[in-house]
Amino acid sequence: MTRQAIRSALVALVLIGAAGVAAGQTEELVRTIPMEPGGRLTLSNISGETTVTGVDGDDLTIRATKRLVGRGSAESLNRVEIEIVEHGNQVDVEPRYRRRSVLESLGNLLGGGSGSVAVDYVVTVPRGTRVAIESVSGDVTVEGVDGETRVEVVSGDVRLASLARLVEVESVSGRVQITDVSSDERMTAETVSGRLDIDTVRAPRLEASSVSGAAVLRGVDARRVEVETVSGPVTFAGALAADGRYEFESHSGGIHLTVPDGTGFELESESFSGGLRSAIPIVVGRGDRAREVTVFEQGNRSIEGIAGGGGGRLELSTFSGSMTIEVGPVR
Amino acid sequence: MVEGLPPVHPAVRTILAGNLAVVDRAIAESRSALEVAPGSEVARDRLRAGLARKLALLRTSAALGLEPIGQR
Repeated sequence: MTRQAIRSALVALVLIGAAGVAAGQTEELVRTIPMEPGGRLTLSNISGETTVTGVDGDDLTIRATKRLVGRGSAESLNRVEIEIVEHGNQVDVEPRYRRRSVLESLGNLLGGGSGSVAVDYVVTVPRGTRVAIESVSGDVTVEGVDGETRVEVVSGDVRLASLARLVEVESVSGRVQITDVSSDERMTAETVSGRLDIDTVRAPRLEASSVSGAAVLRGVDARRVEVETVSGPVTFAGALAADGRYEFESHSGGIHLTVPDGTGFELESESFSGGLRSAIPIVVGRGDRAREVTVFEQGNRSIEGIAGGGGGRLELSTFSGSMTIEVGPVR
Repeated sequence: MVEGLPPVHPAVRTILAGNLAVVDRAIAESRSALEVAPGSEVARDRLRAGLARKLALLRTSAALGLEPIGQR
């Protein structure tokens, strides 16, 4: 190739790059698919917001908006395809990012760098649809769905509301908000650093965990509850069923419980250096040695006792966090 | 090279590394406690929980294709 030809080729590449567009360019796809009762939606997203709402009717409608983030060529949008696959009564939705050539990459580089493409989904589904969502980056909202629901997010906030069968939600760095949600089987909610807000939940068994995020639970109706954090504080306000089992663990976060007046429980708590205060006197020891205690000072100790005449089993465990049991409104 | 494919946000790796450090501190505290009080059940329970949590974080990191975090 002559020097002139090389120069021309570089100029052409620069022009390709210069023709790139700034953020803001979008392209929309809308598709409506009739569903039979009990259908299933699986939706994957790499980057972008995802909203799924249960509605009356039999149609599933997908509105996917491709959006250029940062600077890049207008053709970038075309290299992302929204793949919608129907098989049986299931619909799978996934963005496909196609490969680019070395020349195109060079063109983008000379034009000021390549942007990325996000896809925002707004999906409505028949209420009974089973929903499974996986998202790498972007907020996820699911509302008004009666079918089994599972959500996994790497980075992004998750908001789940008015769901009849939430089974699982996981997030690495986002906040997870769960409001007015039920399940007829075990429900799990997990974050690494995001705060867990669980409000008005009904399930036979609820498991919630975080490393550094706070776990805040209110209005929980479950016979089995397990909450675990490493450094995040645990707050629980709810009734303790007489035949229930409630386990709260944290390494250095405090554990703060609020239960309704008149609650009884069998307590087993342990802490290496944290103390325990209970508004409900706890009877420890047996026979002549039985005594009521409300304050257990810090120290390496395990406590077993009965409060309020007994009831559900309450297990508390911290390494250094403090533990409190208060009486008050749980809603 | 994949056109327009956004990488996992760098903040995710930072968050995972930061939380792994939190777990490592908890593990170290539990180990130290066991040296002082070898019979402490709570220290043993917390150590076991910390190690399980560390494993889970490392698995999450690997599943996301991130570089190894928290070399210890």
